[in-house]
Amino acid sequence: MRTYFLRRLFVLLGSLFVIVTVNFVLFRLMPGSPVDTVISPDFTPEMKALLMERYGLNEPYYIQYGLYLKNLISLNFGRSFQTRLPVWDELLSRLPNTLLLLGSSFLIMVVTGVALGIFVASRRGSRWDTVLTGSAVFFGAMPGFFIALLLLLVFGYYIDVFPVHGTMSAPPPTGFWPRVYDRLLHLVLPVASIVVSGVGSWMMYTRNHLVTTLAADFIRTAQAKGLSKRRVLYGHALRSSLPPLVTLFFLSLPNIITGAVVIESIFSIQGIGRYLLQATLRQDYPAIEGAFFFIAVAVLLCNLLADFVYRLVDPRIEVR
Amino acid sequence: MAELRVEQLNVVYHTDDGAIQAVENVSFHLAPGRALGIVGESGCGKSSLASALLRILPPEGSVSGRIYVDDTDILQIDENAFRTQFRWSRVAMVFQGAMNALNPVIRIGQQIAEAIWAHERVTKTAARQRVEHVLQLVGLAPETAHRYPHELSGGMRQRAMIALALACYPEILIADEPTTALDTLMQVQILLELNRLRRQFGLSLILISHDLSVVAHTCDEIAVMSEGRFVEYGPTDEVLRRPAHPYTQALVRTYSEPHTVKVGKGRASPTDAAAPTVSTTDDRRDGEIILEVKGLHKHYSQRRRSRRRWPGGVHALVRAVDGVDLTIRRGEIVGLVGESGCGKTTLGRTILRLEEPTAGSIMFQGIDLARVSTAELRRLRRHMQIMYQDPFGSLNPRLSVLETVAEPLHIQGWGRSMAERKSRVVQALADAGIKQPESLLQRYPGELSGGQRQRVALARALVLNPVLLVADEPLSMLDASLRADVIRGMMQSVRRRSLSLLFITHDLSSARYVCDRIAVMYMGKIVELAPAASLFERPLHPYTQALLDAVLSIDPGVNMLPPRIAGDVADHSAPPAGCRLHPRCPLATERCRHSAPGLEMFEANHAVACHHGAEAWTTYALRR
Amino acid sequence: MILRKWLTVLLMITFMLCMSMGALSAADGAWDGNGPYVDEIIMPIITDSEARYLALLRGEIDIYPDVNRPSDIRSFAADPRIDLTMTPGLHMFYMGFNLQREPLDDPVLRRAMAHLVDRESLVFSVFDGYVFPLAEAVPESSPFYHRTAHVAEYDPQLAERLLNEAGYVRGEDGIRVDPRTSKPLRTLTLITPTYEESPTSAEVAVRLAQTFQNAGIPVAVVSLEFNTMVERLLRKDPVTGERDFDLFVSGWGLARYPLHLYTLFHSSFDVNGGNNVTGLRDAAYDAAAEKLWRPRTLEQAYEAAAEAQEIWAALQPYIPIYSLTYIDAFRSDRVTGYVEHVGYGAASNPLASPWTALNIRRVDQPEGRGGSIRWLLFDDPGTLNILASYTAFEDQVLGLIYDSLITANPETNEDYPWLATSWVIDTWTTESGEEGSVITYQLAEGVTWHDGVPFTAYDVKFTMDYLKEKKPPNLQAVWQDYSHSIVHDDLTVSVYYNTVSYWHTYATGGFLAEHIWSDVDDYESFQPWREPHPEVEGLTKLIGHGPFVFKEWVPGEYIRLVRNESYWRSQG
Repeated sequence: MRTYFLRRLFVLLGSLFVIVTVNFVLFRLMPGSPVDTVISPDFTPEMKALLMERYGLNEPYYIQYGLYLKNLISLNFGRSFQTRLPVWDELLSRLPNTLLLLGSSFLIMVVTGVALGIFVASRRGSRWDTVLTGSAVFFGAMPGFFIALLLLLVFGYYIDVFPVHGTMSAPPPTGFWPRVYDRLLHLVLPVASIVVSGVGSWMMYTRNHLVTTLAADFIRTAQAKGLSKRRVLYGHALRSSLPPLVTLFFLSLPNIITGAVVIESIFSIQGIGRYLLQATLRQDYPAIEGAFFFIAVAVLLCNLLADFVYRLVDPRIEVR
Repeated sequence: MAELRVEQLNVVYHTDDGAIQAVENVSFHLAPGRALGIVGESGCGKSSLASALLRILPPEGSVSGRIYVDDTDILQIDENAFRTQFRWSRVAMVFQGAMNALNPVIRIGQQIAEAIWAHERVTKTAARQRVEHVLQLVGLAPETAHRYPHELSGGMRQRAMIALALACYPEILIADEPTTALDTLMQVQILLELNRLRRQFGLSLILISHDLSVVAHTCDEIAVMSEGRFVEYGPTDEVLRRPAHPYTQALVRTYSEPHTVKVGKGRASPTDAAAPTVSTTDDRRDGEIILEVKGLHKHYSQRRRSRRRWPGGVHALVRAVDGVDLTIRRGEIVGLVGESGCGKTTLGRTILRLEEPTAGSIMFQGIDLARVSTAELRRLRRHMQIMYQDPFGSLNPRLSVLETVAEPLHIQGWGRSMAERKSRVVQALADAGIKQPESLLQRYPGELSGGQRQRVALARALVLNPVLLVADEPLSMLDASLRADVIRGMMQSVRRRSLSLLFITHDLSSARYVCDRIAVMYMGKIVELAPAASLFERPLHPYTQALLDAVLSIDPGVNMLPPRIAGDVADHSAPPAGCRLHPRCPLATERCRHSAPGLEMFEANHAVACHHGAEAWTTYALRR
Repeated sequence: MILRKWLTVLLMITFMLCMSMGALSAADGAWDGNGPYVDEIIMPIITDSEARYLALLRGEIDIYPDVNRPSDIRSFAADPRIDLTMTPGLHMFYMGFNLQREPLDDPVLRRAMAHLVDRESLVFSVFDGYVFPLAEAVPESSPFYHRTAHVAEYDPQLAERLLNEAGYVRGEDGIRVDPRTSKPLRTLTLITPTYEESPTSAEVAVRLAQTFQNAGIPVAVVSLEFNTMVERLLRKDPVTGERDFDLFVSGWGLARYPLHLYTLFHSSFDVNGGNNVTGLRDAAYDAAAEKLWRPRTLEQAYEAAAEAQEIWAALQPYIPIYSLTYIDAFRSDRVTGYVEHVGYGAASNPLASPWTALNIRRVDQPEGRGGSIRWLLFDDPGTLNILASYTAFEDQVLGLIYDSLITANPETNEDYPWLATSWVIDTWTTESGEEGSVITYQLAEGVTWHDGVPFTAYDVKFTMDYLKEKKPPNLQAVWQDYSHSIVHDDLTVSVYYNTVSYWHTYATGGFLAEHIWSDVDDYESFQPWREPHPEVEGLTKLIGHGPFVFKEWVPGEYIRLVRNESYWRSQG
C-alpha cells in the first residue's frame, strides 16, 4: 500500500510537471505580448521595453522557464499584472466561493441525479421513465451557459424571486442568520444552473448502469433469496453500481471546474473560474499560470482520490 | 420434508415478437427426499421451469397451472407472503455460474446472512453462527464468510452458492446446472456434496443439467425435456436402459458412441477394440520426429488486476509452462489433457511461437523456432497451423467460406488467382469432412451450423498442407451430437496427409479415441506421458488416476467415487515446492514436499513424474 | 463651439430615436457642481451582460453606464422607467492606408476612396444609428475640432471623376487600371479583427470592401485575431522597411486635446513597433504636429490643431468612419440630475467628468438631498491604487474619490477651473539651457482630504516629485517632462517642466496625499483600500479630496462610497 501510494505520488508529480511545462509553452506561443494588452497602446516603444524588463519578459525563454519552475515549487506565482496582488493569495481568497458553489451544486446534482436514476431504473418503460429520460436528453443537449441564462431570465426577471449576481446583497443584511439566508438566496440560481445542466447525465448514467446490473445473474439470486424489492435495488443493484459511479464522481469534477468558468462569469461570482477567465482575457501570465496550476493540482488530486475511493468500494481491486 | 406437485404448468413469455411458450403442460411429482433430474439442451425450457418454481420469472413471463408445495398452491398466494414464507425458506436454488450469480462486491457471509434475515428475525451472532454452519456443511472454512466471490476458486464459489441455498434450511432444493463451468474433478466433488446434503437433510432435489451423466448418478427420476415439454419422465434406471422417446434414445446414444464412451474405472469396453486407437502402428511410433520441445518455459509477468495501468505496476510471475519436454512424430496425434489453467493452451501457442518462450528450444523439422527471425518464422508458418476452440469467434463473419479458407494461401502468396486457389480450398474442405464443398463456398459463417464452422476452421488450417497442427479444444463448444463428425474429419485428414497433431483437450474420453499418445499436464508440467491405451489401462500418476475416476458414465450401476485428488489447484504465481501436486495428493510423503519428480520412463513409452508411481498404480488397481 | 455641423444630425437622430422609442431624452441641463446630493453610492459589480440588463430592470441599480448592446438599448428605450442618454464620445473608427505601398501612395486614389464611403448609411445599417458619422481627424466633441476645407464627404460621382481623371479607368473586367503600371489594380488586403472578437469592425470592413469592389478597386478582407493583427500592423520589416498590409480598420480612443495627431502620424513614429503604421511622412504635417505637441499657449494649440487637421485632410492617411457614443441608462423614476458631458457621457467616465456624480439626486428625497444610489460597475477594479490602475472600472471608482486640478465644461469641453481656481503659464530656462514651461496654480480654499487634513500646494509638489521618482508607466505623460515644483504658499505652487507645452497644464496632478503616500515605497503593490487609515477610524488609506469617501469593497460583490461631508464645493 505504501509503495503504491508513493508510486502514484510520483506519477502525479510527473503529470504535474508536464502540465506546467505545457502551460508555460502554450502561453508564450500566444500572439501578442502581454504588454500590449495590459498597457495602453499609447506607450512608446522604450516604455514597453522597460515594462517587459520589469516583468522579466525579455529574458531568454529557458531562463524564464527556470524561474517559473522555481517559483511554482515555492508556490510563488508572482503578482498578477492586473491587480498587483500575489496570485496565490488571490486564488486562495477566491477559493471559498468556488468551493461553496461547486460543492453544493455537485452534491445536489449527484444526489438528485442518482436518486432520479434509481427512480426511473426501477420503473423502466413507465411514463416517468419516458418523461425523465427525455428531459435528461433535452437538458443534456443544451449548453450550460444557455441554461444559466434561461434561469437568470426566468427567475431573475419574470418571476423575480432570486438575485442574479454575486454571492451577497450589496451591502449584505446585518446579523448572522440574515446573512446566511442572503448567501443561500444568491446561491440558488448558479447552483440550479449547474444542477440542471448536469443532473440529467447523472440520472442517465445511474439508470443505465442499474438497468444493466438489474439484469445480472446475482440480482436474480438476490430476488430468489427472498429479499424485498427495496433491498435488491439498494443493497445489491446500487451497491454494485457504486464503483463506476464513484469513478464518474471524481472524474467529472474537472468538468465541473470548467463549468465554473462560465457559471461564475454569468452570475458574477468571485471565484477561481472567473479569475482564470479574466486573467486569460487580459493575458495576465502570472495569474493564468497560477490558476492553471491550481486547477491542474485539483484535477490530479481528484484522480488520485478516485483511485483510492474506488479501491474502497470495489473489493475486486487489489493493492499490494 | 416437503413434497412438490406440479400440474399442467405453462410458462409463456410475451415479447414484442409475440408469445413464446417456454414450458408447456409440465406435470411432475417430487416426493419428500427424492431427487428429480431434468435433462435437456439449452433453450428447452428447463431454466424457465426452475424460475417458475421460485416465481422469479422476468416481468414479461407469465405462469399458469398449479404448483403445490405440500398442500399450498404457491401460484395462488400473494407475492409478499410467498417471498417471506416460501421463497428460499422452503424452496431454494443453486444457480449456475456462481461467479455471476454471487454479488461481486459483497462478502460471501453477508450474502448468506441477508437471506437469513429476509425470513427470520435472528441476532447478528446467531446469523453469523448459521453462516459458518452452512459454510461448513458444504466443506468451506468459516473464514470464507469474509471473502469476496472473486477471491474464491470456481469450486469454492459453487460450494458457497450451495451454502447460500442452504441458508434457511430449505426443504426443496433446485440446482440449475450446478457443475457446468467446473472441471471434471470438481464436478464430481460438487455432485457428491449435493448427494450427501440431500441425505443429511432429507432434501427434495431437482437437478437440472444438459448432461445426462450428471443426473444419472444423482437422481431417482429423470425427466427429459425438449421444446418446453417433458418428452420422457420416469425412474432413472428405466429411462437410461429403455428410453422410449426417440429424443431420449438419441441422447442416450451419444453417450455410448465409441469416441465418447465414458471410460468408467478403466474397464475397457469391448467396443473399444474397434477404435482406431489400437491401430497405432509402429511406423508412427518410430517415424521422423517433426517437433522436439526441450525444457520449454513460458512465464508471464502478470499485473495484478487493476482498474488502470500505471508504470511499475505490481507483477506476479505466473509459470504457465514450466519445463516441458515433448516430441511429436510425423503422422502422430499427441493429446494434451489437464484441468483448465494447467497451461496446456499456453504450451500449444508457445510451440507455434505465437507466444515468445521464456526459455527452452522448439526444434521443428530441425529448426529451432525459439530462435528464428521473424521473417523466417513467417515462412515456416505455412507448415504449422492452429485451430481454435471457438468456431464463432475464430471465423470472420464478413468473409465467405471460400475467402476464409483461401486466406492463408493469399497470405503465403500461394497461387496467382482465386480460381487456382479454389481447387485447393475445395480439397481442404473435403478433407475436413465436408460432403459437398462447392455448395458451401459462397456461404458466410453466420449461415453455418456449429459443426460446419469447426470443419471450415479445420479446412483453413489444412489448406496450406501443414506438417503440424495444434487443435485447441476443437470440440468443447460443440453439442455432443456434432462432435463425432468433427472428430472423424480430423482423423481422416491426419491420416491422409500424415499430419502431426497436437490435440489439446480437457476431455479425456475424446483424447483416448483420437490420440496415439497422451500427455497429462498439471501446473505447467507434464506429469504423465504414455500411449493412449497404456495410459487408460495403467494410469500411473495419482492425478491421471483421479481424472479417469472423475469421468462419469451414464451407467447408473457405477457409483461415483470421491476423487482422490480433492481441493483446488494452487496459486500459479506461488507453486508449491517439490511435487506440485503434493498438497492435494493422498500419497504425498516428505520427499514429495521437497523434491520435484522428473518425468521418467516407468516402462516402455510410459513416462511419469511421480516419486510413487508404482505404489500409486498398486493402490489404484486395488481400489478398482 | 462643438456640435456645429453635427448638431443638426445629432438633433435629428435624437429626435428620431425619441419618436421611435419614446424614452430617449436629454438630461436636465442644470450642472451647478454644488453637490454631492446623495448620501451614498453603492457600485454593484456585475460581470455578465444579461445580469446587468436585468439589474437595471429589477431596480438593483439606478445607473447603467455605457450600455453597449443594441438589444439592451432598444429594450431600455422602450421602458418608461428608464431614461437613456446618448453623448458623442472622443473616439475615432477609421480605415487606414499603407501609404508606403503602391498604389495607395497616390493621394488621389486615397481621396477618391474616401469619397466612396457612405458613413451615414454604414452608421445606420451596422449600428442602428447609435454612433456618429465621423469624417475628420478630430471629432466634434473635442474643443479642438476644426472644420477643414478638404473634408472628403460621401460623393461617388466625384470619386468616379477623380479616379478617371487620374487614369484609374475601368478595364474590361470592371477592375480599374493602375495608371503607373497600366495593369489592373492588384487586390488590396483589408485587415480586420475577427467577427468573433469585434463583429462591428468585421462588418464595416466587409461593407467597405464591397464598396470599393463595386467601384472597381479590388479589396480582399483578411480577418485576424486581435493580437495578431496588432503585431502585423506594428511590424516594420527591418530590411525592406515595409509593413505587410494595404488597408486596415481599427478604432482609437482619443483625448480632449488631439495629441493623436502627433502620436499616430508624426514621421518619428514610423518605426518598427511605432504607432504611425500608415507610414505618413510629410514635412509640413510634421511641423504642424510638432507645434501641436508643444504649444506655448492654448491659442497656439488651437492654431496648430487646425493647421494639422487641414494638412491631414488633404493627405488622407485614414478614412474616418464613425465616432462612438456613450449611451448611459438611468432609472428616471428614481434618480435625476445626471449631466451629459460631451465626449465623456453622462455616467461613463467619472474620472474625466465629475458632473453627474455631483449633480445626481434621488427623486424621492425631500429637497433632492440624501438617499443612496446604485451605480453599476462592469467588473472589479484591479487595485484602487491610482498609480497602478489600468482599467476603466478603476477610473469609475477613483473618479468619485479624487478631484482634478482642472476639469472640463460638460457642454463645450473647454477648460473649467476646479481644485486650481486659476493658473498662469510662463517659461523658464532649464539647467541645460533649454526653454521649459512653468505653470503657477492658485488652489481653491477649504479643500481637505477625506481625513480632514487640508489639501495644499505641498501635496501637489509631493505628487509630482513622487511620480518623477517612481515613474509609474500609466502616468508617463505626467512625469516624463516634469522638472520640479516650488511652493509659494499653502495655496500657490509653481510647477516646472523641462519642455515647453501648454499640455503640461493638464498633466499636473495633486492626488497623492503627502501624509499617506510619503511612507509608501513600493507603490505598485500598495493596496490603499486594504490598509486602515492610521488615525481616523472607518477610513482606509484610500483617501482623496473628491465628493465621495471610500467605505468598503467586497471583491466581486460591490464597492460602497459615502458622501464627503466636508466637500469643498458644497461648502461654497
